[in-house]
Amino acid sequence: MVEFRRVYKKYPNGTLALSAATFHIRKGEFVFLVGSSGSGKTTITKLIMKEEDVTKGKVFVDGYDVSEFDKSEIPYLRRSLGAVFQDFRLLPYKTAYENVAFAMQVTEALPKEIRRQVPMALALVGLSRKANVYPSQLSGGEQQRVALARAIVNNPSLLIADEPTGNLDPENSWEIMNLLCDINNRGTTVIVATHEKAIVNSLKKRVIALRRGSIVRDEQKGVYGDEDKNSQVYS
Amino acid sequence: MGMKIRTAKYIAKEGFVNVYRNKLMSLASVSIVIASLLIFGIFFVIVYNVSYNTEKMRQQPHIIVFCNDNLEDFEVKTIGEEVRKIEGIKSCQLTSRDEAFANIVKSFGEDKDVFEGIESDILRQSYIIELENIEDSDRIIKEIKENIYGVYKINYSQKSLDLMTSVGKWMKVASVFLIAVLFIVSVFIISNTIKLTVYARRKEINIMKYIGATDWFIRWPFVVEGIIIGVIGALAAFILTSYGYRSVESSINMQLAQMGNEFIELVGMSYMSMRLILFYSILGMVVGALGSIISMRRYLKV
Ligand SMILES: Nc1ncnc2c1ncn2[C@@H]1O[C@H](COP(=O)(O)OP(=O)(O)OP(=O)(O)O)[C@@H](O)[C@H]1O
Ligand SMILES: [Mg+2]
Repeated sequence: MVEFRRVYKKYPNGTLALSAATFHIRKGEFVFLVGSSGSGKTTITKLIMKEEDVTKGKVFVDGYDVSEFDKSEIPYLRRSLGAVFQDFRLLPYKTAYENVAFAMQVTEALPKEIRRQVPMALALVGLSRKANVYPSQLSGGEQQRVALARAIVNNPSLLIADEPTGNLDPENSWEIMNLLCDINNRGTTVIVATHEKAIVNSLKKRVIALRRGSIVRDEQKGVYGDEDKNSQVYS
Repeated sequence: MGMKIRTAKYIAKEGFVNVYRNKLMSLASVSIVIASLLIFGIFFVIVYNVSYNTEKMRQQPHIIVFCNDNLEDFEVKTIGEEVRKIEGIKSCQLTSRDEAFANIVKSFGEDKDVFEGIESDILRQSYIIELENIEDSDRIIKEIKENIYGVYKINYSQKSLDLMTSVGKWMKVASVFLIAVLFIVSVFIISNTIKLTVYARRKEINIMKYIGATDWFIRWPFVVEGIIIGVIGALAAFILTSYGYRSVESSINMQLAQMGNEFIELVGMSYMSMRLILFYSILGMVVGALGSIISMRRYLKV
C-alpha cells in the first residue's frame, strides 16, 4: 500500500527531515508513527499525499511512484486517500453533513450517491444526531469525528491521521483511536502519527519509530518506546 | 474539460454567495470597475462620434454657401441659380433664415424660452449643396469663390473630413493605448482586492486541496465572483454613461448648430447603447475574471 525506499527529504532551508527512510506498509495494516517533535512524522504524511516532493529515494502509494504523478493528477491521488489532522480542518460555514458531503461534491459524485454515503459515514462515527450542526457548535472530539467521516466517505483504501488527538482530552482521544481501529477493521489501511504513549502501548499495533529523520525501530505489536527521552514535549 | 451540470450549479452558487458574503470587498471592486469603465467610456464615446461623423460626411459630400446678409432676395436667388450651373452638383437648397432659426430653437428642446425676443434675421441665408462626388469639392469651391458675387463664407466637408479623419486616427491610437494601460491597472487593483478575500479564505482553499478538489474546482467560484463584479460594474457604468451622455448631447448639438455647423452632430445614445454595453460587459468580465485568476495563483500551490 505504502512503500518508502531510502527516502530523503531536505527542505529548502536545508533541514534534513528524513534520511534513508525505508518501510513497507501492506494493505489493511494499522501503523503508528512515533518519535519526538521534529523527528519527521508529518514529513512522511506529506510525502504520501504529495504535498511535498521527495528529495531522493522513492515513495510508492498503491503501487504508483508518487514522483511520477503530474501536478494536475494530485487531486485524484488525494481522493483515494483520507486524511485527518490535529486541527480538524472543517469548513466553518458548512454543517457537519455539508462538510462530509463536500468531499464527495469535489469528486463530482452523484447526488443520489451523496445522500446515501454521507449519513452512513456520520453514523459510523456516531454523529447522526448532529448532522445539521455547524463546527463551531461541536466539541473538539465531535469535530474530529466529522473530519473522520469526511475522510472515509469516499471509501479510501488508505487513511492518514497526523496527530488526530493532539487537541483532545484523553477520553476523546480514546474514542477517536477506537474509531480509527474500527475503520481499519473494515479493511482500510491506517497510518497514525501520534504522541499518545498510553494508547500506542495498549493497542499493540505496528509501530514505526523515528529519530531525527531516521527510522530507528519498526516492530509489530510495538510500544511507544523511549527514543525521545531527551525531549519531553508530550507525556 | 467537461463539467457536470451540478458542479456548474455549485460554482455559480458559490460565486454569488461569495460576492454577497464579502459585500464590502465586492463594493470596492465594483467601484474600481466603474471608474475604469467610465474612462474607457469617454474615449469610446469620442471615437464613436468622430467615426460616425466621418462616415456620415463621406457618404454625403456637402458644401454650404453662406450669403452676405445685406443681399436682396433676388440676389440670393441668383446665387442659387449660378451654383446650379456648375458641373458636379447634385442638389442645391436654400435654407431660409426662418428654417435655420427653427432648427436651432428645436435643438434647444425645453430651453427654447431663451430665444424669446430674438429675431430670425440675425442668421444668414445659406445654400446646402450636395455634390455628386467628394473629389470635386476643391474645384467647385474655387469656382464659387471666383465667380459668384455675394458669398460670405463657404463651409465644406472635405476640410472637416480631413481633420476628422486624422483626429479619429489619433483618437483610436490613444484609446487603444489607454485601454491597454487602464486594463492592466484595473486587473492589478482588482486582483489585489480579490486577493484579500482569497487570503481570508486561504484555509478553506487549503482544505479543499486536501480533500482532492482540482485547481479549477477551487478557482471557478472566484472567477465567477470576479465576473459578477465585472458585470455589476459594467451595468452601473453603462447607466452612468448614458445618463451623462444624454445630458450633454443636446446642449452640444445645439452649440454645434449655433456655430453654423450643419453636418457634425453627436450620435444619439440609443445608437451607441448596444455596442457600449457589449464593450463594457466584455471588458468588465475579462477584468474581473483575470483579476481573480491572478489573485489565486499563490494559494493554489499546496
Ligand atoms: N516546510 C518546512 N520547511 C523547513 N523545514 C521544515 C518544514 N516542515 C518541517 N520542517 C522541519 O523538518 C523536521 C521534521 O518536521 P516534521 O514536521 O516532519 O516533524 P514531526 O515529527 O511531525 O514533529 P511534531 O511531532 O512536532 O509534529 C523538523 O526539523 C522541522 O523543523
Ligand atoms: Mg507533525
